[in-house]
Amino acid sequence: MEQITTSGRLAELDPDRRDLSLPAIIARRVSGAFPLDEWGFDRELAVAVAAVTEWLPRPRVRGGEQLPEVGSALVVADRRLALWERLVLATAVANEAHRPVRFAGVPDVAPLGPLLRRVGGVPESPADLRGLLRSGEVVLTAPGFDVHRPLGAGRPPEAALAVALATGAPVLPLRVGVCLPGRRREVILGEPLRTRGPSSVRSVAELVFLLGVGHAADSSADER
Amino acid sequence: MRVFITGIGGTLGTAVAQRVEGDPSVDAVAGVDLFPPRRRLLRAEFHRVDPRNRERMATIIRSFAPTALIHLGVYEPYSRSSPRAAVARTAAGTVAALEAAVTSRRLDRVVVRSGIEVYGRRRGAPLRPDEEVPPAPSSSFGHILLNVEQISREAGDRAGVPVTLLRFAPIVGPHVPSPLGRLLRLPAVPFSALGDPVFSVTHEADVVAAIVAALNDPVHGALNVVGPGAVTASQAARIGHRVPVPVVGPGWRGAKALAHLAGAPVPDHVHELLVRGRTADGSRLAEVLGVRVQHHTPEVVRQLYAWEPIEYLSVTAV
Repeated sequence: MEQITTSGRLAELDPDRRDLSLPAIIARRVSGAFPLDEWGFDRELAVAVAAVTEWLPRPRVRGGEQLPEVGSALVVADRRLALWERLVLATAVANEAHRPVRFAGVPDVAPLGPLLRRVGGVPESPADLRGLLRSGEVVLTAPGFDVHRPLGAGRPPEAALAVALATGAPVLPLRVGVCLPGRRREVILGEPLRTRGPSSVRSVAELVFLLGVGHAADSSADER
Repeated sequence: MRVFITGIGGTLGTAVAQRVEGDPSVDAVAGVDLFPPRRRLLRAEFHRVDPRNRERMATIIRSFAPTALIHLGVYEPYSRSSPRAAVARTAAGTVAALEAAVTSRRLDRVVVRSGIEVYGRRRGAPLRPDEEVPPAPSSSFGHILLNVEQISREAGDRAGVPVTLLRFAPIVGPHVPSPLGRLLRLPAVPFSALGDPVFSVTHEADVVAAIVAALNDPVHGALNVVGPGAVTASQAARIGHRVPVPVVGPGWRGAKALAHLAGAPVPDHVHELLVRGRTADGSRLAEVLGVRVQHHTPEVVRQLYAWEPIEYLSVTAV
């Protein structure tokens, strides 16, 4: 049998081997031996944030089983989301799927950008999305601002969808609708749209049509 | 194969020359540099030349008639040259070496040392660019590297030979002269209080492995060579048992002046790394050259501080 050797410490390569007790985490903070990825994601800090959000009002996620256990995926919300909504939803989906979920759209401005990158935020740039999806990460994105579209609908994230098509990552629709305090607090992950294989989606336009993004305000109005 | 190495006197140049010397398929090895080799070379022929002396460089290279050129004569500001000398030496040495190698008419491959500084870190630039991202340098060292890449590409196109551009993350180690390494080894390390962004580094052994692989299996185009993982400046300071010092805005002027006084001047590309971060996607290297980077960034940083203590021998008269 081939022997696999590595010069890195195993615990640095395999997060499951880390001691997640509070004294161990504090000791790693002091010694600087905590892992960060190339986007600045601090997995231990994200775990702490997830633990705090357990106590805060947050949306319930249905369909968490649709998210692949391993490998990349692009989760696309059906309406425009503020930055804090993306963070809350990514944390909620991550808790449900038991794997980290990154959220796109973080501005490249200090101190907000680096701070949000610590808890899983990434810029919306196609190069970064390409790198994340190639690395097998799950990324949540949402339509962008568009003055010509109805309130809340936004412009479909065509660049992100093109990256998903190019990398072969499945695209999962996330039905958010109106998710304000006192209103409906449930988001639904839909069935993944395959971008690789015989019955896969072939174009960005087809993905936009199937996801139904860009019409959220109308659909939420219908539901009301 | 006749291999000519520019920058053979540097840590990397000497290490590459030692590896190439041991290859039986290599008929002859020669190199030029302003500084003498850092280790003993058995077969390689060394010529001490200032790269700004273009005529002498060209004469040596033409008379050697290389089939492979490894261009490592790229001088990082405040590594071993002042910023001004780094620009002049790199530009003159690159033009002279490529021109002479192409006109010798036996050249069949070129390997060039570049860096991930060519991608730049302007606002909105990708955090972890891959080779598909067009270079847009935002520091003087980034511009130096882009100039080297452009000259090399043009020379390669004229000669019809593959040019492998290896874009390394900052190379640090206890024996590598590097402005970033010197700064991180100071007793107190400045970091950006507003962001403390992440950066990646590379181990010299991985750099040498990538250069040798590119020499044996020439590929046309750019490849990033980056140690997986990342650290922040404050994290690196804690790994090395240094004091992390938070710095904001105008405070950098004082921090840089103090670092300069302490023997670790901070060029603009290192300042940019501390304030904006610097990483790149190095996954294509394994796909194309089959080279897997062995040293992760946190491990390279740990090794940077693992400087062996000097042991003084007690001498007694007999």
